[in-house]
Amino acid sequence: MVETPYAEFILESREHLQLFETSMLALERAQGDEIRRCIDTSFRAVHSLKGNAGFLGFQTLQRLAHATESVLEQFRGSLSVPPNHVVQTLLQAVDRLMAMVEDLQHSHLHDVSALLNKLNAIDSAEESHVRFDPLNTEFVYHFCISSRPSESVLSLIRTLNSCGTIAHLSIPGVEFRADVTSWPNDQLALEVTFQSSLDIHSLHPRVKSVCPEITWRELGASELAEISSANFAKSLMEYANSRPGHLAYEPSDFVVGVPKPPILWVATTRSEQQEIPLKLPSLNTTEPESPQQQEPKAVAPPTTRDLVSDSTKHFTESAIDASKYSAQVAPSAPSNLPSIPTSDRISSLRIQVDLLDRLMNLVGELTLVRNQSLLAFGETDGSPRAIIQRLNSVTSELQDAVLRTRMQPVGNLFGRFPRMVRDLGRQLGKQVELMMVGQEVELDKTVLEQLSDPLTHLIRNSVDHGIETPEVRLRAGKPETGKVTLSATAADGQVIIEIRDDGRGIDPNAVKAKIIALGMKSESELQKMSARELYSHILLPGFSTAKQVSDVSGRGVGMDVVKTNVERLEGSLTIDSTPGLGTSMILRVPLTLAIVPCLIVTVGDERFAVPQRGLEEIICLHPGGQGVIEHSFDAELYRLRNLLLPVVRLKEVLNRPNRFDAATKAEILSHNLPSERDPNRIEYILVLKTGGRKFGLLVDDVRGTEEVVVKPMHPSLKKIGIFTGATLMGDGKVALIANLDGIAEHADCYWVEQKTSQALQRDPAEVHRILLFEYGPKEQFALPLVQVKRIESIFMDQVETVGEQAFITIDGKSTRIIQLDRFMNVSPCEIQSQMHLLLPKFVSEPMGILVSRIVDTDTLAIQLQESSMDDPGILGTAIVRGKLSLFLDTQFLREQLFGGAENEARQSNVPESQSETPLPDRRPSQRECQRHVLLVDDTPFFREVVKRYFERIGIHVITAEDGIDGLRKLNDNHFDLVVSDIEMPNMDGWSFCMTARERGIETPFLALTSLSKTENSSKALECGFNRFEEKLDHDRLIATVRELLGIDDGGQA
Amino acid sequence: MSEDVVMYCTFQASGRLFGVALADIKEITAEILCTKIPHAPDCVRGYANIRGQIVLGLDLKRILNLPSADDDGKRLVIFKHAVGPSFGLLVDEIGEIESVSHRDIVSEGLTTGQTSGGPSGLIERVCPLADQLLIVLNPRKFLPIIENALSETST
Repeated sequence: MVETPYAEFILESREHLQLFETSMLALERAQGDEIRRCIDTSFRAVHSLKGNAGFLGFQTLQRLAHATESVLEQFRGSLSVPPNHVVQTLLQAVDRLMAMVEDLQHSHLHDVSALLNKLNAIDSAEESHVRFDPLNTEFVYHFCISSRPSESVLSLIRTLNSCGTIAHLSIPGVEFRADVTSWPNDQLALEVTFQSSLDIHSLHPRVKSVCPEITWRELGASELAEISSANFAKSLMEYANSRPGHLAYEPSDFVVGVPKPPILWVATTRSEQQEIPLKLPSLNTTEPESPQQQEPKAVAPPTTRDLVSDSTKHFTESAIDASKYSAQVAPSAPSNLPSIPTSDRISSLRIQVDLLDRLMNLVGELTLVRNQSLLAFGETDGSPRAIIQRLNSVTSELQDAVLRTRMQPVGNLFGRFPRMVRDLGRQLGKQVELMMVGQEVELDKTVLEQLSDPLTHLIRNSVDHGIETPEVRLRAGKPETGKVTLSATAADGQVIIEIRDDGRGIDPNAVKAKIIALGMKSESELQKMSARELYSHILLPGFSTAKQVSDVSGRGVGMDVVKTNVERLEGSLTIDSTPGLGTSMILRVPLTLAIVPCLIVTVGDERFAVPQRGLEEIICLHPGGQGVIEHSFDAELYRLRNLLLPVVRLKEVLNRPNRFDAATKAEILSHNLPSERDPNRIEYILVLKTGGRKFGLLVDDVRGTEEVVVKPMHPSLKKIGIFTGATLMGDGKVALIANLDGIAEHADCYWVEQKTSQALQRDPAEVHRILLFEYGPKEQFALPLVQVKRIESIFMDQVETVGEQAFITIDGKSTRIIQLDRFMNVSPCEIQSQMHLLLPKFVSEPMGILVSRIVDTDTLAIQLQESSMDDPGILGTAIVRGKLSLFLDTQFLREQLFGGAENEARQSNVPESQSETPLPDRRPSQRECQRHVLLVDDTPFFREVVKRYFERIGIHVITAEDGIDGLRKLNDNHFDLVVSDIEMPNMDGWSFCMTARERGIETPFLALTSLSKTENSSKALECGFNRFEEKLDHDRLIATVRELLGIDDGGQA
Repeated sequence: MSEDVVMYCTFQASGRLFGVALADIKEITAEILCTKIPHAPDCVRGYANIRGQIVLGLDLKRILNLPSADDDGKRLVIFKHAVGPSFGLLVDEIGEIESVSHRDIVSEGLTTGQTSGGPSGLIERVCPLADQLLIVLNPRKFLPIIENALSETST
């Protein structure tokens, strides 16, 4: 979709202004606390508008917004309604702002000085009632000057600019001929419309002094009227033989200065010759400054249709360019122009989100109809079943498509920031570089739109408060140019956006001092706080540690806006900072608010949906099992491996509308004594993670997973914190969607802080855990848990077979079933009516491994033996629980299953060749140069797996067990790439890479780890890693390795 | 229809006759099932699915402190969006549409005693019909009652 930053700006500004207006109106009737809220809301709205306008260079807009904001500032914190005339003036300002936003191209034409005076009058004296009559303070000149094109014209424009606003400037009367190659060297006439508070007598001398040779002819004021760009274009067309022409120059802001040469007059003549740009050698002039310099372009393309072919080259380009704008500009273009051919026009379409929402609703309804028809026809009816299955797949595809219409890459949003950072840097006298990572990550449009404000604020903050001036930076031993990194990553149904700067960081003492000064917390309370908690205060309203209010930020509203907006998106914001080294602000937002994968659980007779985003694992409290809930002083805890997990009973939360206090907790404990536990009762604990902390939610039963369409809570019930919304289930009933944060909050669940500073990291033990299962009666198989998506229970009568292949529908996808005995030499399995299906992670095609019995999970502290079975599907073997266990190679299985032509093409440098091999490697392929990779990992299992992956694409692999081993091997050999784990004994990956870099080794380094990419990728870059990949996504890993080695997919080096 | 005649949709709850201006009503459903919303005030019966739309069902009898049982009041009178965002009243039986002339309408002052403890402003007026009294409700007052009840529990 084509979007200009301005279109977004207009949409946003409209919202801000509407919000401003409604709260202003509410203010007149408000009482007590409401007054403050209204003022705060309108303040924030106009503050955001001011910021945006400033960055985009709409200075008039910005000035007016600033004045408005200043007025509001005076009444912030006051408990009385501002006097009537103030509200009146503010509303006038809003009207004017609205008018300017709606006519953005001409916003600079608006004369706001009277209104500014009025606003400033409020600013300086509370009771002053000075009124300015705009008619008396403003003069509008419309005159024509003629001169030889020279420097003095330039000075004239500058002078005029210092005395008032140039509203309109045009160059009529120039005739264009095909053979004209330069601007006519005689008189040049400029038509100027000029607004100033100076009267003609004081203006004349100033002008004459800079430009004595001009003649000045005043035109009647009545001619002024409304001069729009459309008229301008029209008048130009008359001069240029009914062809539109336009001045072309680099984008620049007229208020700041005259554009840099060359300024080109681009026009086309009727002659059958190529278009000749007319150059104005020394003249620096321009059409009325319009921030969106699209008007002339938009007018241009229609004429290309009747242009003869050999003169169209330039216009072909501009026609393409203009097609972007045509939709928006068309109404103001002269109506006699032919419309653009349809085929050029519609490549994308703007659709109301409302309409998409309705579509979503209807799709949901369609799903219900499908389910009902499924019930209506019995299992035995053959023909309707097929129809319903088609209905089924069409419905899910439709849902998918509708959802996708809402997704947009974050690059659309990021696009505006480089300019912003640059301008801001200049304005503040700082050198700032913006790096952007992950622009391709997609987000729901509504989420994306609402992120714009918070991101603008955060980036502005980083540049304004974070990055130091060059002198300060040099003194601190940092490079002169500050760096702001804006990165987006998608993980677990969330998008994480990090804004990291290498500036001065946040001084914790300043934050503490401010907290105490504001009386929020006492000193002793502060001492107990973690840095993160401390920094979270910055997000409260009215909190700013900036010493002075600057043009761009520092009024203490910014962060508060950010927090509100992010929370509205069900997102979170955390701040990490190291004083002196920089700050990083981490935003987490859900991918979409519309559809959320949920686990359906029951408590009593009611069903609830728990978003899977926060779900880590499910524990079954089986009477026969070992796990029990134990009591600590006032909480129930469950021993989850090495962690004490606080347990919250969903039932108790639902039954108690009031937030838990000590008494409630004691009561709950007394009702649930471990000794009185019903021995036959099976319960489940969902291990949930919110904001980096874990708790267990106890439910009666787990029904399965479902992608639910979220409908927000009814506005009157917003206060209920334990739900985020409701959804319709397959049977047409409504189920509520749990809000994990809200439940933890409600239950006053206190957190067991993890010991390590890296509290957010995945439990390292998890990575080294394996799942043991059986297929045939003879063997025990194993797969690392990181490679397991989940296990489904399936009924064999749901399985459909096509030839030799078996399929089952899971998550709406037709999933291939792998029967292990078909692919490798293992014992066949006795098929029962109910089996398990193990869905592996990181495989591009849907497949599942048929399993007869799940044995258990265990830790992988095991030495892996090279496969003695000589079976390509087996990575290796190990003795687990006294039994030989075979480790499966899921990639091999996938290739066996889907290794068709398509796969061949993608993996074409997989050697076809066990045969052609003089090279030391088992499986060579690159004819010209064999690539050598050093693989450093302390876990034998992963070493083996990854080594296999690499060897399969013809890379020679040497392995090392830790950093020290790695360094030794780096010294002895030449490598094209180093792939290293991070968490290793003796020397970890961070120090390994840093040491290597210090020794001047420039080989590319890839971090391959189970640590979360989001939290560690920046650190990895700092340590000298070139890339970062999480374990163990085969396709991504291979793609990255290929990229780093410069092997393209076609297999050529 | 002459100007001083108002049409009311009437319904029964605990044997009493209530009415709401016909112009405020979007639709009336057959018997429906509501999903309970924990933590919501008592007078909120729950969410109902009306053709893909989730509608908040309020229990008229509980709002007015009339005797009620859990399983009665299954028909939902849904109001137009202008009255408030998707909500409706659960009532026992739907009655006739009554046209009442303004002259027959008795002002609110007479009826405050009937709703002692009940929220004010809910009962707009009372119209004496031929055989019984019609209590005219103001549907715009219902959602604020829920919100108030909710803020009381949360404080």
